[in-house]
Amino acid sequence: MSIPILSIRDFRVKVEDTEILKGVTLEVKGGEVHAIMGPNGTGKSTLAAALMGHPKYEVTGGSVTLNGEDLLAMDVAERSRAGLFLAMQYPSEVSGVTNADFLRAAINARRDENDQISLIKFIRKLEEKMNLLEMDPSFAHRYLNEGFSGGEKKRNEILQMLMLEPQIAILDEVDSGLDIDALKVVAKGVNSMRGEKTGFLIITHYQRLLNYIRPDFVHVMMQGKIVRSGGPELAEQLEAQGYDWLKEELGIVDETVGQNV
Amino acid sequence: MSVDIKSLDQERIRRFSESRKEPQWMTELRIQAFEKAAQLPWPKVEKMRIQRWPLQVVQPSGGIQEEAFDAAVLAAYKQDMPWLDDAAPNLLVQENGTTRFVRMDEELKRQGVILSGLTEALQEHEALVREHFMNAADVEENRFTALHAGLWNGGLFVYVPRNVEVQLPLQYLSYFTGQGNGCYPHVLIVADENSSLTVVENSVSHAAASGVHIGVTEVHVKRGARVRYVSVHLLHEGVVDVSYRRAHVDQDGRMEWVLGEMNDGHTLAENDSLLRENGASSVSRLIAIGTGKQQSNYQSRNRHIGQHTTSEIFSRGVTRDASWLIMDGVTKIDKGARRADGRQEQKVMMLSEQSRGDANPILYIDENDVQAGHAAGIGQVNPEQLYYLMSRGISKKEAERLIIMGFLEPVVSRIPVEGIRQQLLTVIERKLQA
Repeated sequence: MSIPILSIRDFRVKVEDTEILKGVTLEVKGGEVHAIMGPNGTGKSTLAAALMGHPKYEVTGGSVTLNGEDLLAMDVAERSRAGLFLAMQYPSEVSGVTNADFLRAAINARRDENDQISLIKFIRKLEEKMNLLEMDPSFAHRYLNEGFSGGEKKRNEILQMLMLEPQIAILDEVDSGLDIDALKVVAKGVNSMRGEKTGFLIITHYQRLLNYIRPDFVHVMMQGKIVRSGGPELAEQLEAQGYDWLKEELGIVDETVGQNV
Repeated sequence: MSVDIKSLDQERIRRFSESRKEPQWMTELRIQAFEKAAQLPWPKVEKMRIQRWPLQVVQPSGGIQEEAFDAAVLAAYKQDMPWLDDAAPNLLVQENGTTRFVRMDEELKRQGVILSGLTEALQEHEALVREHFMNAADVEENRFTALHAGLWNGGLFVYVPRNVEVQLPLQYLSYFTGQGNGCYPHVLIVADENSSLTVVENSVSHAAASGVHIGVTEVHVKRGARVRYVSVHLLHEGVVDVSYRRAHVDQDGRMEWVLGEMNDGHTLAENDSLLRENGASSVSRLIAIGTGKQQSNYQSRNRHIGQHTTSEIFSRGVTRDASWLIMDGVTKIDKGARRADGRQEQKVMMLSEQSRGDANPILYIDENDVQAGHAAGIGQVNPEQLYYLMSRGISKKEAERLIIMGFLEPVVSRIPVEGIRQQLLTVIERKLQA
């Protein structure tokens, strides 16, 4: 299989009547880890949700392709089947649907009808991945995210990523609300997937996640655009000095966009 | 109004009762109830005009089964109802009120448990039947209850003696066949002190069947007893189904209703628990799907009289096409029912623009020292949930299906007979297919 490429060009998105993304350009390839940093309200999560196709976001310009295919022409499910994955900041709870049933449906959705995963293979894989993420086996039979703590939800997002083996994985603030042990477990899950077959786009406020998942590229978003790109040393500088020096350099007074979206 | 009572008269009812060798008191009860029916009003159902439903009240069908029961009968029914658990140790099958098959575990018989057709029980356990028949339900409540008492033509009798715990469910299959028939099954359950049991009632019609089905279920939960009554109704479009389910719960007794209302025709169903002594409790879980032009009305009620009584109502409805579904919960706490706790939650998911769903939680509280809570919601499939499932590659249609099945799961998972649970799922899937 060739190396996957997510190619984002001059991507513009609005919510209701407010333009949030004002021309984002970025390329993520298999084997690369990109981190997007930036203060609250600068458009980072909008980028993640709009790439996945959340119905609230309206694309007003630009293009996004995954392996040369027009991602924006696909519905949400098609984007996933094409190889895109989003670990969400606030995953939904779905009562009455067990984690295991949901995951099996998701795996089978990307397989041929005559080639559905066998129950034994599925259970083996699920046990292996849950083991890696140090999840209690009972989580397989609990209803999807219902009554899960914040940390449990995040682990469950990573579990889904490991089960679905996406080509491009976006992690939207997967570190928020996690204690250091949970953070290490999440990082272990992500690192177990690193390799040519998968590219990562990691959205975070804080540098601390990047101590465990070392990025190849770091981008800073402000006012709905990428305003600075660099290597891992950029993240370290932001951690040490905050964002003010960068705002000053760029002549930005208010880095947010829209109404703190 | 299309009720045709003229074809019936006292004389016919007397002959019907006598043909079934019923005791004199029952014949009289029938005639008096039938006479009252004409004077009593139809039940008052908010908003819905049930008088416009096709209610052909007709001569009850069925007589007494004279031939010996044998397993060949079951094989024939299994052709029509492949999910029938024909190996079940405790099973009673009736067609249009006539008992066609009955089997009960020998050990339960030795313990004094009774599983019988109600008509047969009237011969063999007359005193028990007489003490409890139309006692939790009231003959004079309305025209339906009176008609039922006058015309009942089959049903189930279950008695579990003191301290006996019945582990496996007692299964009752009621099969409705023929056109323009009247079926009036009466289920009478007496759970003596500290006993426990589960009854699974499955009311099914032949695809071509039509007529009226007016059933009454009475459950007497004595001190410390626990009864779970599971009812799955799968009646076709040509059948109007009316169900009155009533439980009297004594001290520390527990009543649990698990109701799968999957008819295609108009349906009026009520389940009431009267928590008449201290420590009594009731839980009711109900699911229903409205399709086509179906009108359906489900009332779940709890009345607290005793102290420290608890009740819970949990109802889930789905509406499609041009159906109309009403789901009410009524919690009534009488003065003196201190420390009572009554909860309810109704949710209706509307899948079409033309369908209509109403969920009404109603609380009447005449005592200060109580806890009560209610929640009701009407909406569509939650778009955030849909987005989430789709973001994992699941198609919109399949995602909707998963969300709806999950919505109904709290009742489906509580059906203790595998075959009936699977058939319920099959019918749910059929109803949800576009």
